[in-house]
Amino acid sequence: MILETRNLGIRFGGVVALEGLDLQIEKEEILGVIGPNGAGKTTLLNLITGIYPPTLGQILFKGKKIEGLAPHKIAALGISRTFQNIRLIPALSVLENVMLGRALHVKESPLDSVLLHSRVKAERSKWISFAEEILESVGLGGEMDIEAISLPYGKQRTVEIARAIATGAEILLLDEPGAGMSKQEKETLVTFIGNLRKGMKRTIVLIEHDVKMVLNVVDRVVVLDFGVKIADEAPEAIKLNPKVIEAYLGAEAT
Amino acid sequence: MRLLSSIKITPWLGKHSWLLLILWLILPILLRNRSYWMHILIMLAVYVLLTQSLNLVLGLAGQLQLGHAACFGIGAYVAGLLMVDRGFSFWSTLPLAFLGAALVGILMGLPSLRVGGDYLGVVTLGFGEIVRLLLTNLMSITRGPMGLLNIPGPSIGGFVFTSKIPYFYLATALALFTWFVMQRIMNSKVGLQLMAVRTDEQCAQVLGVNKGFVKLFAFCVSAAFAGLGGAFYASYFSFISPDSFLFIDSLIVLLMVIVGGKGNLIGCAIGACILGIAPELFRFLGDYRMLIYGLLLTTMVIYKPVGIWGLDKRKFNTIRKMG
Repeated sequence: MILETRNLGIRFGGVVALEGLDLQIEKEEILGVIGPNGAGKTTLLNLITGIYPPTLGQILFKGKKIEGLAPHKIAALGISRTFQNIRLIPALSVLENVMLGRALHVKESPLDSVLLHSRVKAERSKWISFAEEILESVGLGGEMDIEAISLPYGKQRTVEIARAIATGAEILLLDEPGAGMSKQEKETLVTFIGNLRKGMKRTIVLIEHDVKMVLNVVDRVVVLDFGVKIADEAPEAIKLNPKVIEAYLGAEAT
Repeated sequence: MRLLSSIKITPWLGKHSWLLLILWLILPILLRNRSYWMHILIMLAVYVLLTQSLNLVLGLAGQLQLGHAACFGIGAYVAGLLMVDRGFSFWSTLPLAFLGAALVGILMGLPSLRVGGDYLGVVTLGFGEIVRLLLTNLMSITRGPMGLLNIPGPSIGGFVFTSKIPYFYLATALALFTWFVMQRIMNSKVGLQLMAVRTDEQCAQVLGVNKGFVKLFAFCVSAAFAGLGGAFYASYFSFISPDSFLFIDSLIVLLMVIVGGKGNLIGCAIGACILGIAPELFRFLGDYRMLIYGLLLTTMVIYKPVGIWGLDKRKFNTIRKMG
């Protein structure tokens, strides 16, 4: 098990966004997290990445408690994410965005940056070629020198995922990567995510609205509804689970 | 502004910027050491230094810093007092002014860990006022509102700076040094991280950026270089008083950065030159000059918010060539 949450919960004032969540994520699995709007999916990611401290419960990464740590420390441990609305840094090129993701492993103090001695130069060329390799492996080798936010939507999403990969994270948390994509783009994305696990041996948590898309690629699905886990099973079983159908379609449908 | 970028000469100048530098360096000869113009040139160099350093906080880290003049003033007072009271040479006060201002910069940056945007602007403005009031009221140390008189000029060997020419070259050297350091910082690990913090703090943090550290770094280094400029200023004018470092001075440097182009070092230099010379050209307007300033700022913010030569002109992946 690489990541585990125990009785995890958070309240915003009187609103319970997430309650008593027990979740186990195995190494190199693709876990889908689905649920209707407001189910607490993004809140879960915000808790794991340290954007909010939980009001209750624990998060364990490789057996070590991480809840309450600053986001940049959690990132350094090996957890990275993408955002629902793409958040690339404008005014930076595609390459620079990916380099930014890698920066936390680059040994370059501000003084080094100014002096630019030979050790820093060596470190830099390693840094640059690392980012270039990742971009080439995701098929963006030809677009490294243009402003990241000028790319078409689907490619921006790929850059964001490449940036998360560049952090060296063992777990990638993808927050609705298919949002706003055409059917065709989504298919490409699903193949891409499948390859990520095979080729790069990462664990992936995939949050999605589009249930169909998720079921094609994941090993296991967790369903959230109003901040509570209502199902945790294989994708084939999820379609038949009456609770899930109720959450999505209402009680009548059962 | 569209005119400026469409003129064929700009890309050519970009490749041959050393020509501009040479032109700048021989200006004292062309002007035959006319005191009035030499003074303006020296102040331009100081303004370039100040815009380059303010840009680190304002343009790169995106933090509203309205107390830059206070950092400049601290540098000036550290250098001035050491020279007058302790008999330090100008050169030995330079690193101390640098460090003193750096320390004040860190203090000034601390609130940025908690507040942002306009609120931070108010806090830094207040901090600048505190510095001014301390300089005015700590009579026993600073001489208060009377100011500090007879600050000696620098000397090399037996040669003491008296005419404006050595001051011109010294100011140019300090400005170029600042520019060089800022150029390296912009295209570096911390530079990329600062650009990330500027647009999206949360995203930056998730990517492993220690936002507190990089913000304090920006405030500290920005102030330190302003302090360097302050030390020069003290020795050049040989007189400083708390009134030399007012909020309006912070505001003028801020305007230079915004009009020239936040986040772009060339833009900052352009802004410094335009707003540095403009008040001289419009001297006949008297106090109405401020009206022109206001008009200029409003026009810029409406029609060209990135500035004359701003982030839109940033060259991508410069870090590759430097590396």
